[in-house]
Amino acid sequence: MASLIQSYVRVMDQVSEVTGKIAAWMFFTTGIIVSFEVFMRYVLNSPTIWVDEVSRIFQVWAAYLAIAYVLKHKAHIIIDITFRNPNALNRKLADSFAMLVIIFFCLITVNYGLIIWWKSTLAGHTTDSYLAVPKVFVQSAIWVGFGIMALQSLAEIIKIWTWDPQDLPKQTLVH
Amino acid sequence: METLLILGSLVGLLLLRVPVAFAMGALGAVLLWLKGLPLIALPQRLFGTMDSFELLAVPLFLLMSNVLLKGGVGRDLFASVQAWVGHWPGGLGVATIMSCTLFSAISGSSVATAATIGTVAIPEMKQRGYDEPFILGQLAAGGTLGILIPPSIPLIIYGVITETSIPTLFLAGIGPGLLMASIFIVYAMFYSRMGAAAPLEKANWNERARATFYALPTVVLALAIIGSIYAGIATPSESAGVGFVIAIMMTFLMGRMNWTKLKEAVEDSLKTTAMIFIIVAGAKVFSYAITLYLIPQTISGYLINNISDPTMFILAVGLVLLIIGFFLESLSMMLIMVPVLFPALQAMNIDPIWFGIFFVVLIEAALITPPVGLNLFVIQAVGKARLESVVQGAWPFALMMLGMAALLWFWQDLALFIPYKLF
Repeated sequence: MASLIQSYVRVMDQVSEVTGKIAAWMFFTTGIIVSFEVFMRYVLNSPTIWVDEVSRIFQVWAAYLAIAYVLKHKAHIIIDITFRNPNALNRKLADSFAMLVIIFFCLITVNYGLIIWWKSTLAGHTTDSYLAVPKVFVQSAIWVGFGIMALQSLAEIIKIWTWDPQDLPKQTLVH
Repeated sequence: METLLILGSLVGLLLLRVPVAFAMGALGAVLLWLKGLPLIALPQRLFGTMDSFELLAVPLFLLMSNVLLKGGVGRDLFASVQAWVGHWPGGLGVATIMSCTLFSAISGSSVATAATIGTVAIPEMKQRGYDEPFILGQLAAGGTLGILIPPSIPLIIYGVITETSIPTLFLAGIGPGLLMASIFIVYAMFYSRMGAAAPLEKANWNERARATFYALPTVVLALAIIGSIYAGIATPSESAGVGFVIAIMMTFLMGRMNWTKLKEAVEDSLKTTAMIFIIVAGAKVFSYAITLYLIPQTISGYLINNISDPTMFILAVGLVLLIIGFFLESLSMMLIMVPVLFPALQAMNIDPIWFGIFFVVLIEAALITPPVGLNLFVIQAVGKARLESVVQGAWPFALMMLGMAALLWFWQDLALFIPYKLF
Protein backbone atom coordinates (compact mmCIF):
# COMPACT_ATOMS: atom_id res chain seq x y z
CA MET A 1 0.00 0.00 0.00
CA ALA A 2 2.75 2.41 1.05
CA SER A 3 4.66 1.81 -2.18
CA LEU A 4 1.47 2.30 -4.19
CA ILE A 5 0.96 5.68 -2.52
CA GLN A 6 4.54 6.70 -3.22
CA SER A 7 4.12 5.57 -6.83
CA TYR A 8 1.14 7.91 -7.08
CA VAL A 9 3.31 10.78 -5.80
CA ARG A 10 6.04 9.97 -8.32
CA VAL A 11 3.57 9.75 -11.21
CA MET A 12 1.92 13.07 -10.26
CA ASP A 13 5.29 14.79 -9.89
CA GLN A 14 6.20 13.55 -13.35
CA VAL A 15 2.88 14.64 -14.87
CA SER A 16 3.21 18.14 -13.35
CA GLU A 17 6.80 18.39 -14.53
CA VAL A 18 5.83 17.48 -18.10
CA THR A 19 2.78 19.79 -18.21
CA GLY A 20 4.91 22.60 -16.77
CA LYS A 21 7.53 22.17 -19.48
CA ILE A 22 4.83 22.09 -22.17
CA ALA A 23 3.41 25.33 -20.72
CA ALA A 24 6.85 26.97 -20.67
CA TRP A 25 7.42 26.28 -24.36
CA MET A 26 3.88 27.40 -25.21
CA PHE A 27 4.79 30.84 -23.82
CA PHE A 28 8.05 30.68 -25.77
CA THR A 29 6.13 29.91 -28.98
CA THR A 30 3.72 32.75 -28.20
CA GLY A 31 6.64 35.19 -28.01
CA ILE A 32 7.83 34.01 -31.43
CA ILE A 33 4.43 34.26 -33.13
CA VAL A 34 3.67 37.68 -31.62
CA SER A 35 6.90 39.08 -33.04
CA PHE A 36 6.12 37.31 -36.34
CA GLU A 37 2.85 39.29 -36.43
CA VAL A 38 4.71 42.59 -35.93
CA PHE A 39 7.11 41.59 -38.73
CA MET A 40 4.25 40.69 -41.08
CA ARG A 41 2.40 43.92 -40.33
CA TYR A 42 5.27 46.38 -40.63
CA VAL A 43 7.73 44.74 -42.96
CA LEU A 44 5.48 42.78 -45.33
CA ASN A 45 2.37 44.93 -44.81
CA SER A 46 0.36 41.73 -44.47
CA PRO A 47 -1.06 41.30 -40.94
CA THR A 48 -2.14 37.82 -39.92
CA ILE A 49 -5.64 36.81 -38.82
CA TRP A 50 -4.56 34.10 -36.43
CA VAL A 51 -1.84 35.40 -34.08
CA ASP A 52 -4.10 37.30 -31.66
CA GLU A 53 -6.46 34.38 -31.07
CA VAL A 54 -3.86 31.61 -31.09
CA SER A 55 -1.70 33.50 -28.58
CA ARG A 56 -4.68 34.00 -26.25
CA ILE A 57 -5.61 30.31 -26.49
CA PHE A 58 -1.98 29.37 -25.77
CA GLN A 59 -1.98 31.73 -22.81
CA VAL A 60 -5.11 30.19 -21.26
CA TRP A 61 -3.72 26.68 -21.71
CA ALA A 62 -0.20 27.47 -20.56
CA ALA A 63 -1.32 29.43 -17.49
CA TYR A 64 -3.52 26.63 -16.17
CA LEU A 65 -1.30 23.75 -17.26
CA ALA A 66 1.51 25.33 -15.23
CA ILE A 67 -0.20 25.72 -11.86
CA ALA A 68 0.51 22.17 -10.69
CA TYR A 69 4.16 22.51 -11.77
CA VAL A 70 4.40 25.72 -9.74
CA LEU A 71 2.87 23.97 -6.71
CA LYS A 72 5.36 21.11 -7.04
CA HIS A 73 8.21 23.65 -7.05
CA LYS A 74 6.66 25.55 -4.09
CA ALA A 75 6.53 28.78 -6.08
CA HIS A 76 2.96 29.86 -5.28
CA ILE A 77 3.00 32.95 -3.07
CA ILE A 78 2.17 32.27 0.57
CA ILE A 79 2.39 34.54 3.60
CA ASP A 80 5.26 32.81 5.31
CA ILE A 81 5.05 34.33 8.79
CA THR A 82 3.26 31.59 10.75
CA PHE A 83 4.09 27.95 11.55
CA ARG A 84 7.65 28.35 10.32
CA ASN A 85 9.16 25.17 11.78
CA PRO A 86 8.88 22.54 9.02
CA ASN A 87 9.18 19.69 11.53
CA ALA A 88 6.35 20.83 13.83
CA LEU A 89 2.97 19.10 13.83
CA ASN A 90 1.07 22.40 13.58
CA ARG A 91 3.02 23.25 10.40
CA LYS A 92 2.06 19.90 8.85
CA LEU A 93 -1.57 20.46 9.80
CA ALA A 94 -1.55 24.02 8.39
CA ASP A 95 0.09 22.91 5.14
CA SER A 96 -2.37 20.02 4.77
CA PHE A 97 -5.26 22.41 5.39
CA ALA A 98 -3.88 24.73 2.69
CA MET A 99 -3.76 21.81 0.24
CA LEU A 100 -7.36 20.86 1.12
CA VAL A 101 -8.47 24.43 0.37
CA ILE A 102 -6.74 24.16 -3.02
CA ILE A 103 -8.41 20.80 -3.70
CA PHE A 104 -11.80 22.26 -2.71
CA PHE A 105 -11.38 25.18 -5.13
CA CYS A 106 -10.07 22.94 -7.91
CA LEU A 107 -12.91 20.43 -7.60
CA ILE A 108 -15.57 23.14 -7.85
CA THR A 109 -13.78 24.59 -10.88
CA VAL A 110 -13.39 21.19 -12.52
CA ASN A 111 -17.05 20.35 -11.92
CA TYR A 112 -18.47 23.56 -13.38
CA GLY A 113 -15.73 23.76 -15.99
CA LEU A 114 -16.76 20.32 -17.23
CA ILE A 115 -20.43 21.36 -17.35
CA ILE A 116 -19.65 24.35 -19.59
CA TRP A 117 -17.29 22.31 -21.71
CA TRP A 118 -19.78 19.47 -22.19
CA LYS A 119 -22.56 21.87 -23.23
CA SER A 120 -20.24 23.57 -25.72
CA THR A 121 -19.15 20.18 -27.05
CA LEU A 122 -22.71 18.97 -27.59
CA ALA A 123 -23.76 22.25 -29.19
CA GLY A 124 -20.64 22.39 -31.37
CA HIS A 125 -19.83 25.96 -30.23
CA THR A 126 -16.87 27.77 -31.73
CA THR A 127 -15.11 31.04 -30.85
CA ASP A 128 -16.63 34.22 -32.37
CA SER A 129 -13.73 34.82 -34.70
CA TYR A 130 -12.67 34.21 -38.26
CA LEU A 131 -10.79 31.11 -37.15
CA ALA A 132 -13.89 29.69 -35.35
CA VAL A 133 -11.85 27.45 -33.07
CA PRO A 134 -14.04 24.74 -31.47
CA LYS A 135 -14.71 25.61 -27.83
CA VAL A 136 -14.34 21.94 -26.97
CA PHE A 137 -10.63 22.52 -27.34
CA VAL A 138 -10.40 26.00 -25.80
CA GLN A 139 -12.54 25.51 -22.68
CA SER A 140 -10.98 22.18 -21.71
CA ALA A 141 -7.94 24.13 -20.44
CA ILE A 142 -9.82 24.94 -17.24
CA TRP A 143 -10.82 21.46 -16.11
CA VAL A 144 -7.61 19.83 -17.32
CA GLY A 145 -5.40 22.39 -15.51
CA PHE A 146 -7.34 22.44 -12.27
CA GLY A 147 -7.82 18.66 -12.39
CA ILE A 148 -4.05 18.11 -12.49
CA MET A 149 -3.68 20.75 -9.75
CA ALA A 150 -6.13 18.86 -7.47
CA LEU A 151 -4.23 15.60 -8.03
CA GLN A 152 -0.86 17.30 -7.40
CA SER A 153 -2.25 18.84 -4.18
CA LEU A 154 -3.20 15.37 -3.00
CA ALA A 155 0.35 14.22 -3.74
CA GLU A 156 1.64 17.17 -1.69
CA ILE A 157 -0.47 16.10 1.30
CA ILE A 158 1.06 12.62 1.04
CA LYS A 159 4.55 14.17 0.92
CA ILE A 160 3.83 16.29 4.00
CA TRP A 161 2.99 13.20 6.09
CA THR A 162 5.31 10.58 4.66
CA TRP A 163 8.46 12.41 3.57
CA ASP A 164 11.22 13.76 5.73
CA PRO A 165 10.65 17.58 5.93
CA GLN A 166 14.27 18.07 4.80
CA ASP A 167 13.45 16.30 1.51
CA LEU A 168 10.55 18.65 0.71
CA PRO A 169 11.41 21.55 -1.62
CA LYS A 170 11.86 24.92 0.06
CA GLN A 171 9.61 27.86 -0.80
CA THR A 172 11.00 29.24 -4.10
CA LEU A 173 11.79 32.89 -4.68
CA VAL A 174 10.90 33.31 -8.31
CA HIS A 175 11.89 36.03 -10.74
CA MET B 1 -20.05 43.34 10.00
CA GLU B 2 -20.26 41.23 6.85
CA THR B 3 -17.31 43.16 5.41
CA LEU B 4 -15.16 42.54 8.49
CA LEU B 5 -16.08 38.87 8.51
CA ILE B 6 -15.08 38.42 4.86
CA LEU B 7 -11.79 40.32 5.18
CA GLY B 8 -11.08 38.47 8.47
CA SER B 9 -11.66 35.11 6.74
CA LEU B 10 -9.20 36.08 4.01
CA VAL B 11 -6.56 37.05 6.56
CA GLY B 12 -7.23 33.79 8.46
CA LEU B 13 -6.72 31.69 5.32
CA LEU B 14 -3.51 33.56 4.49
CA LEU B 15 -2.16 33.05 8.00
CA LEU B 16 -2.93 29.33 7.66
CA ARG B 17 -0.44 29.29 4.75
CA VAL B 18 -3.04 28.91 2.01
CA PRO B 19 -1.47 30.26 -1.22
CA VAL B 20 -2.78 33.78 -1.83
CA ALA B 21 -4.39 32.87 -5.17
CA PHE B 22 -6.35 29.97 -3.73
CA ALA B 23 -7.31 31.79 -0.53
CA MET B 24 -8.96 34.47 -2.68
CA GLY B 25 -10.45 31.96 -5.14
CA ALA B 26 -11.86 29.58 -2.53
CA LEU B 27 -13.28 32.40 -0.41
CA GLY B 28 -14.81 33.91 -3.55
CA ALA B 29 -16.42 30.55 -4.36
CA VAL B 30 -17.86 30.19 -0.83
CA LEU B 31 -19.23 33.75 -0.96
CA LEU B 32 -20.95 33.06 -4.28
CA TRP B 33 -22.41 29.83 -2.91
CA LEU B 34 -23.66 31.50 0.30
CA LYS B 35 -25.53 34.08 -1.77
CA GLY B 36 -27.04 31.30 -3.87
CA LEU B 37 -25.31 32.57 -7.00
CA PRO B 38 -24.38 30.14 -9.81
CA LEU B 39 -20.87 28.78 -9.38
CA ILE B 40 -20.64 28.39 -13.13
CA ALA B 41 -19.28 31.95 -12.95
CA LEU B 42 -16.08 30.48 -11.50
CA PRO B 43 -14.67 28.76 -14.62
CA GLN B 44 -16.05 31.59 -16.75
CA ARG B 45 -14.10 34.17 -14.73
CA LEU B 46 -10.96 32.02 -14.75
CA PHE B 47 -11.16 31.60 -18.50
CA GLY B 48 -11.96 35.26 -19.16
CA THR B 49 -9.04 36.45 -17.06
CA MET B 50 -6.45 34.63 -19.14
CA ASP B 51 -8.17 35.28 -22.47
CA SER B 52 -6.48 38.69 -22.67
CA PHE B 53 -3.90 39.90 -25.15
CA GLU B 54 -2.86 42.75 -22.80
CA LEU B 55 -1.86 40.24 -20.10
CA LEU B 56 0.47 38.54 -22.56
CA ALA B 57 2.95 41.36 -21.90
CA VAL B 58 3.71 39.73 -18.52
CA PRO B 59 5.17 36.39 -19.72
CA LEU B 60 6.88 38.02 -22.69
CA PHE B 61 8.64 40.72 -20.65
CA LEU B 62 9.63 38.03 -18.13
CA LEU B 63 11.00 35.83 -20.92
CA MET B 64 12.99 38.74 -22.30
CA SER B 65 14.52 39.74 -18.97
CA ASN B 66 15.33 36.12 -18.08
CA VAL B 67 17.08 35.59 -21.42
CA LEU B 68 19.11 38.76 -20.85
CA LEU B 69 19.84 37.71 -17.27
CA LYS B 70 21.18 34.31 -18.42
CA GLY B 71 23.12 36.10 -21.15
CA GLY B 72 25.10 38.00 -18.54
CA VAL B 73 23.71 41.40 -19.43
CA GLY B 74 23.85 42.51 -15.78
CA ARG B 75 27.65 42.19 -15.87
CA ASP B 76 27.90 44.30 -19.06
CA LEU B 77 25.69 47.05 -17.70
CA PHE B 78 27.55 47.21 -14.41
CA ALA B 79 30.99 47.22 -16.08
CA SER B 80 29.94 49.94 -18.49
CA VAL B 81 28.46 52.27 -15.88
CA GLN B 82 31.38 51.56 -13.55
CA ALA B 83 33.83 52.70 -16.27
CA TRP B 84 32.06 56.06 -16.43
CA VAL B 85 31.26 56.79 -12.78
CA GLY B 86 33.44 54.43 -10.73
CA HIS B 87 35.85 57.26 -9.82
CA TRP B 88 33.06 59.41 -8.33
CA PRO B 89 32.68 59.47 -4.53
CA GLY B 90 30.70 56.32 -3.71
CA GLY B 91 31.36 55.33 -7.33
CA LEU B 92 30.41 51.67 -7.08
CA GLY B 93 27.22 52.59 -5.19
CA VAL B 94 26.37 55.07 -7.96
CA ALA B 95 27.18 52.45 -10.61
CA THR B 96 24.91 49.95 -8.85
CA ILE B 97 21.90 52.28 -8.87
CA MET B 98 22.54 53.33 -12.48
CA SER B 99 22.80 49.67 -13.52
CA CYS B 100 19.52 48.92 -11.70
CA THR B 101 17.92 51.87 -13.54
CA LEU B 102 19.14 50.65 -16.92
CA PHE B 103 18.12 47.06 -16.23
CA SER B 104 14.70 48.34 -15.09
CA ALA B 105 14.15 49.63 -18.61
CA ILE B 106 14.22 46.06 -19.94
CA SER B 107 12.81 44.24 -16.92
CA GLY B 108 9.42 44.68 -15.33
CA SER B 109 10.28 42.84 -12.14
CA SER B 110 11.95 44.16 -9.00
CA VAL B 111 13.18 40.73 -7.95
CA ALA B 112 14.82 40.11 -11.34
CA THR B 113 16.51 43.52 -11.22
CA ALA B 114 17.80 43.01 -7.66
CA ALA B 115 19.04 39.49 -8.44
CA THR B 116 20.69 40.39 -11.77
CA ILE B 117 22.59 43.44 -10.60
CA GLY B 118 23.12 42.04 -7.09
CA THR B 119 24.96 38.99 -8.43
CA VAL B 120 27.55 41.27 -10.05
CA ALA B 121 27.64 44.28 -7.73
CA ILE B 122 27.70 42.65 -4.28
CA PRO B 123 31.06 40.81 -4.64
CA GLU B 124 32.62 43.87 -6.30
CA MET B 125 31.46 46.28 -3.59
CA LYS B 126 32.47 43.90 -0.80
CA GLN B 127 35.91 43.58 -2.31
CA ARG B 128 36.25 47.38 -2.35
CA GLY B 129 35.43 47.57 1.35
CA TYR B 130 31.91 49.00 1.24
CA ASP B 131 29.85 48.59 4.39
CA GLU B 132 27.83 45.33 4.08
CA PRO B 133 24.41 46.62 5.25
CA PHE B 134 24.75 49.57 2.84
CA ILE B 135 25.54 47.26 -0.11
CA LEU B 136 22.66 44.92 0.62
CA GLY B 137 20.13 47.64 1.38
CA GLN B 138 21.07 49.54 -1.73
CA LEU B 139 20.63 46.47 -3.94
CA ALA B 140 17.30 45.56 -2.34
CA ALA B 141 16.05 49.12 -2.91
CA GLY B 142 17.67 49.59 -6.33
CA GLY B 143 15.91 46.44 -7.51
CA THR B 144 12.52 47.99 -6.79
CA LEU B 145 13.17 50.54 -9.55
CA GLY B 146 12.33 47.62 -11.85
CA ILE B 147 8.61 48.04 -11.16
CA LEU B 148 8.48 51.84 -11.42
CA ILE B 149 10.55 52.43 -14.54
CA PRO B 150 8.74 50.98 -17.58
CA PRO B 151 8.11 48.22 -18.48
CA SER B 152 6.57 47.22 -15.17
CA ILE B 153 4.66 44.04 -14.42
CA PRO B 154 2.65 45.54 -11.51
CA LEU B 155 1.65 48.46 -13.78
CA ILE B 156 0.51 45.99 -16.47
CA ILE B 157 -1.59 44.14 -13.87
CA TYR B 158 -2.94 47.45 -12.51
CA GLY B 159 -3.85 48.53 -16.05
CA VAL B 160 -5.64 45.24 -16.71
CA ILE B 161 -7.70 45.24 -13.47
CA THR B 162 -8.62 48.94 -13.55
CA GLU B 163 -8.95 49.13 -17.34
CA THR B 164 -6.57 52.07 -17.54
CA SER B 165 -4.09 52.55 -20.38
CA ILE B 166 -0.90 50.55 -19.84
CA PRO B 167 1.25 52.80 -22.11
CA THR B 168 0.04 55.87 -20.15
CA LEU B 169 0.91 54.14 -16.87
CA PHE B 170 4.35 53.33 -18.25
CA LEU B 171 4.92 56.98 -19.18
CA ALA B 172 3.77 58.13 -15.74
CA GLY B 173 6.35 55.87 -14.09
CA ILE B 174 9.32 57.49 -15.84
CA GLY B 175 9.49 60.78 -13.86
CA PRO B 176 9.17 59.29 -10.35
CA GLY B 177 11.45 56.38 -11.34
CA LEU B 178 14.28 58.64 -12.49
CA LEU B 179 13.87 60.98 -9.51
CA MET B 180 13.95 58.02 -7.12
CA ALA B 181 17.11 56.70 -8.81
CA SER B 182 18.68 60.17 -8.48
CA ILE B 183 17.83 60.31 -4.77
CA PHE B 184 19.43 56.89 -4.26
CA ILE B 185 22.54 58.06 -6.13
CA VAL B 186 22.85 61.21 -4.00
CA TYR B 187 22.46 59.05 -0.89
CA ALA B 188 25.22 56.69 -2.11
CA MET B 189 27.57 59.65 -2.67
CA PHE B 190 26.66 61.21 0.67
CA TYR B 191 27.13 57.88 2.45
CA SER B 192 30.57 57.41 0.92
CA ARG B 193 31.65 60.83 2.25
CA MET B 194 30.94 59.49 5.73
CA GLY B 195 33.67 56.91 5.52
CA ALA B 196 32.66 54.24 3.04
CA ALA B 197 35.16 52.79 0.60
CA ALA B 198 37.45 54.84 -1.61
CA PRO B 199 36.45 55.45 -5.25
CA LEU B 200 38.00 53.46 -8.11
CA GLU B 201 40.73 54.79 -10.36
CA LYS B 202 39.38 56.76 -13.29
CA ALA B 203 38.99 54.54 -16.37
CA ASN B 204 40.67 55.68 -19.58
CA TRP B 205 38.72 56.31 -22.80
CA ASN B 206 39.66 52.94 -24.26
CA GLU B 207 38.29 51.11 -21.24
CA ARG B 208 35.13 53.21 -21.33
CA ALA B 209 34.59 52.61 -25.04
CA ARG B 210 35.09 48.85 -24.66
CA ALA B 211 32.71 48.58 -21.68
CA THR B 212 30.08 50.74 -23.40
CA PHE B 213 30.29 48.67 -26.59
CA TYR B 214 29.14 45.56 -24.71
CA ALA B 215 26.31 47.35 -22.87
CA LEU B 216 25.09 49.27 -25.92
CA PRO B 217 22.85 46.52 -27.41
CA THR B 218 20.91 46.31 -24.14
CA VAL B 219 20.43 50.07 -24.01
CA VAL B 220 19.30 50.11 -27.66
CA LEU B 221 16.89 47.26 -26.90
CA ALA B 222 15.42 49.19 -23.95
CA LEU B 223 14.95 52.30 -26.11
CA ALA B 224 13.42 50.23 -28.92
CA ILE B 225 10.86 48.68 -26.56
CA ILE B 226 9.69 51.97 -25.09
CA GLY B 227 9.99 53.75 -28.45
CA SER B 228 7.92 51.17 -30.32
CA ILE B 229 5.10 51.45 -27.77
CA TYR B 230 4.93 55.24 -27.91
CA ALA B 231 5.44 55.52 -31.64
CA GLY B 232 2.29 53.43 -31.94
CA ILE B 233 4.18 50.69 -33.77
CA ALA B 234 3.42 47.96 -31.26
CA THR B 235 1.25 47.29 -28.22
CA PRO B 236 3.09 46.52 -24.94
CA SER B 237 2.56 42.77 -25.56
CA GLU B 238 3.88 42.96 -29.12
CA SER B 239 6.79 45.08 -28.02
CA ALA B 240 7.61 42.50 -25.33
CA GLY B 241 7.41 39.70 -27.93
CA VAL B 242 9.77 41.49 -30.31
CA GLY B 243 12.09 42.37 -27.39
CA PHE B 244 12.18 38.70 -26.41
CA VAL B 245 13.15 37.53 -29.90
CA ILE B 246 15.79 40.28 -30.20
CA ALA B 247 17.15 39.33 -26.75
CA ILE B 248 17.58 35.71 -27.89
CA MET B 249 19.32 36.73 -31.14
CA MET B 250 21.47 39.29 -29.35
CA THR B 251 22.70 36.91 -26.67
CA PHE B 252 23.35 34.13 -29.21
CA LEU B 253 25.32 36.53 -31.45
CA MET B 254 27.37 37.68 -28.46
CA GLY B 255 28.17 34.02 -27.74
CA ARG B 256 26.49 34.26 -24.34
CA MET B 257 23.56 31.93 -24.93
CA ASN B 258 23.30 28.19 -25.36
CA TRP B 259 20.53 25.63 -25.28
CA THR B 260 20.87 24.93 -21.52
CA LYS B 261 20.69 28.61 -20.59
CA LEU B 262 17.73 29.21 -22.89
CA LYS B 263 15.89 26.25 -21.35
CA GLU B 264 16.56 27.62 -17.86
CA ALA B 265 15.36 31.09 -18.87
CA VAL B 266 12.15 29.72 -20.36
CA GLU B 267 11.39 27.51 -17.34
CA ASP B 268 12.23 30.22 -14.79
CA SER B 269 9.94 32.64 -16.59
CA LEU B 270 7.14 30.10 -16.46
CA LYS B 271 7.27 29.82 -12.65
CA THR B 272 6.93 33.57 -12.22
CA THR B 273 4.30 33.90 -14.94
CA ALA B 274 2.10 31.12 -13.57
CA MET B 275 2.52 32.40 -10.01
CA ILE B 276 1.41 35.90 -11.09
CA PHE B 277 -1.39 34.69 -13.36
CA ILE B 278 -3.02 32.42 -10.81
CA ILE B 279 -3.06 35.28 -8.28
CA VAL B 280 -4.67 37.52 -10.90
CA ALA B 281 -7.25 34.78 -11.61
CA GLY B 282 -7.96 34.19 -7.90
CA ALA B 283 -8.30 37.93 -7.36
CA LYS B 284 -10.77 38.17 -10.25
CA VAL B 285 -13.01 35.56 -8.59
CA PHE B 286 -12.66 37.25 -5.20
CA SER B 287 -13.31 40.77 -6.49
CA TYR B 288 -16.35 39.51 -8.44
CA ALA B 289 -17.76 37.96 -5.25
CA ILE B 290 -17.08 40.94 -3.00
CA THR B 291 -18.60 43.29 -5.58
CA LEU B 292 -21.81 41.24 -5.41
CA TYR B 293 -21.67 41.66 -1.62
CA LEU B 294 -21.23 45.43 -2.21
CA ILE B 295 -18.03 45.45 -0.15
CA PRO B 296 -16.02 47.93 -2.27
CA GLN B 297 -19.09 50.16 -2.29
CA THR B 298 -19.51 49.82 1.51
CA ILE B 299 -15.85 50.64 2.19
CA SER B 300 -15.88 53.50 -0.32
CA GLY B 301 -19.09 54.89 1.20
CA TYR B 302 -17.56 54.67 4.67
CA LEU B 303 -14.38 56.43 3.54
CA ILE B 304 -16.22 59.14 1.61
CA ASN B 305 -18.65 59.82 4.48
CA ASN B 306 -15.87 60.05 7.07
CA ILE B 307 -13.04 61.58 5.07
CA SER B 308 -14.07 64.36 2.74
CA ASP B 309 -10.59 65.82 2.18
CA PRO B 310 -8.68 63.96 -0.60
CA THR B 311 -5.33 64.62 1.17
CA MET B 312 -6.58 62.90 4.32
CA PHE B 313 -8.03 60.13 2.18
CA ILE B 314 -4.71 59.47 0.43
CA LEU B 315 -2.92 59.65 3.79
CA ALA B 316 -5.31 57.07 5.24
CA VAL B 317 -4.95 54.83 2.16
CA GLY B 318 -1.16 55.22 2.30
CA LEU B 319 -1.07 54.20 5.96
CA VAL B 320 -3.30 51.18 5.36
CA LEU B 321 -1.16 50.08 2.40
CA LEU B 322 2.00 50.61 4.41
CA ILE B 323 0.77 48.39 7.22
CA ILE B 324 -0.60 45.74 4.85
CA GLY B 325 2.70 45.88 2.97
CA PHE B 326 4.54 44.63 6.04
CA PHE B 327 2.69 41.34 5.79
CA LEU B 328 1.39 40.90 2.27
CA GLU B 329 3.35 40.18 -0.88
CA SER B 330 3.23 43.18 -3.22
CA LEU B 331 1.20 41.85 -6.12
CA SER B 332 -1.35 40.26 -3.80
CA MET B 333 -1.63 43.61 -2.02
CA MET B 334 -2.45 45.29 -5.31
CA LEU B 335 -4.94 42.64 -6.39
CA ILE B 336 -6.79 42.66 -3.08
CA MET B 337 -6.77 46.39 -2.38
CA VAL B 338 -7.24 48.05 -5.78
CA PRO B 339 -10.74 46.63 -6.46
CA VAL B 340 -11.74 47.63 -2.92
CA LEU B 341 -10.40 51.20 -3.17
CA PHE B 342 -11.11 52.00 -6.79
CA PRO B 343 -14.75 53.20 -6.42
CA ALA B 344 -13.66 55.62 -3.66
CA LEU B 345 -10.89 57.01 -5.89
CA GLN B 346 -13.36 57.74 -8.63
CA ALA B 347 -15.73 59.43 -6.16
CA MET B 348 -12.85 61.57 -4.87
CA ASN B 349 -11.80 62.52 -8.43
CA ILE B 350 -8.35 61.05 -7.91
CA ASP B 351 -6.59 60.32 -11.20
CA PRO B 352 -6.34 56.51 -11.64
CA ILE B 353 -3.02 56.85 -13.51
CA TRP B 354 -1.56 58.88 -10.65
CA PHE B 355 -2.89 56.39 -8.12
CA GLY B 356 -1.27 53.50 -10.01
CA ILE B 357 2.13 55.16 -9.63
CA PHE B 358 1.48 56.08 -5.98
CA PHE B 359 0.50 52.47 -5.31
CA VAL B 360 3.66 51.13 -6.99
CA VAL B 361 5.86 53.43 -4.89
CA LEU B 362 4.21 52.01 -1.76
CA ILE B 363 4.70 48.50 -3.14
CA GLU B 364 8.39 49.33 -3.50
CA ALA B 365 8.52 50.21 0.19
CA ALA B 366 6.64 46.97 0.99
CA LEU B 367 9.25 45.00 -0.96
CA ILE B 368 12.05 46.11 1.38
CA THR B 369 10.27 46.09 4.74
CA PRO B 370 10.16 43.01 6.98
CA PRO B 371 8.72 40.55 7.82
CA VAL B 372 7.45 40.00 4.25
CA GLY B 373 9.68 41.85 1.80
CA LEU B 374 10.55 39.79 -1.25
CA ASN B 375 13.58 41.87 -2.24
CA LEU B 376 15.07 41.47 1.23
CA PHE B 377 14.95 37.69 0.83
CA VAL B 378 16.37 37.79 -2.68
CA ILE B 379 19.32 39.95 -1.66
CA GLN B 380 19.84 37.84 1.45
CA ALA B 381 20.09 34.79 -0.84
CA VAL B 382 22.26 36.47 -3.50
CA GLY B 383 24.58 38.13 -0.95
CA LYS B 384 24.67 35.07 1.36
CA ALA B 385 24.07 37.46 4.24
CA ARG B 386 21.96 37.69 7.38
CA LEU B 387 18.47 39.14 6.94
CA GLU B 388 19.19 41.64 9.73
CA SER B 389 22.03 43.15 7.67
CA VAL B 390 19.78 43.61 4.65
CA VAL B 391 17.04 45.19 6.78
CA GLN B 392 19.56 47.47 8.49
CA GLY B 393 20.76 48.74 5.13
CA ALA B 394 17.31 48.95 3.54
CA TRP B 395 15.39 51.08 6.03
CA PRO B 396 16.84 54.47 4.93
CA PHE B 397 15.72 53.60 1.39
CA ALA B 398 12.23 52.69 2.66
CA LEU B 399 12.04 56.15 4.23
CA MET B 400 13.10 57.74 0.93
CA MET B 401 10.33 55.82 -0.83
CA LEU B 402 7.75 57.07 1.66
CA GLY B 403 9.08 60.60 1.10
CA MET B 404 8.62 60.02 -2.63
CA ALA B 405 5.01 58.88 -2.06
CA ALA B 406 4.34 62.12 -0.13
CA LEU B 407 6.07 64.20 -2.80
CA LEU B 408 3.93 62.54 -5.46
CA TRP B 409 0.76 63.73 -3.73
CA PHE B 410 1.89 67.34 -3.46
CA TRP B 411 3.52 67.38 -6.90
CA GLN B 412 1.28 65.18 -9.03
CA ASP B 413 2.85 66.44 -12.26
CA LEU B 414 5.93 64.48 -11.33
CA ALA B 415 3.98 61.45 -12.60
CA LEU B 416 1.39 63.11 -14.84
CA PHE B 417 3.47 65.67 -16.75
CA ILE B 418 5.02 63.18 -19.19
CA PRO B 419 1.83 61.29 -20.14
CA TYR B 420 -0.59 64.24 -20.15
CA LYS B 421 1.46 67.25 -21.20
CA LEU B 422 4.41 65.86 -23.10
CA PHE B 423 2.58 63.22 -25.21
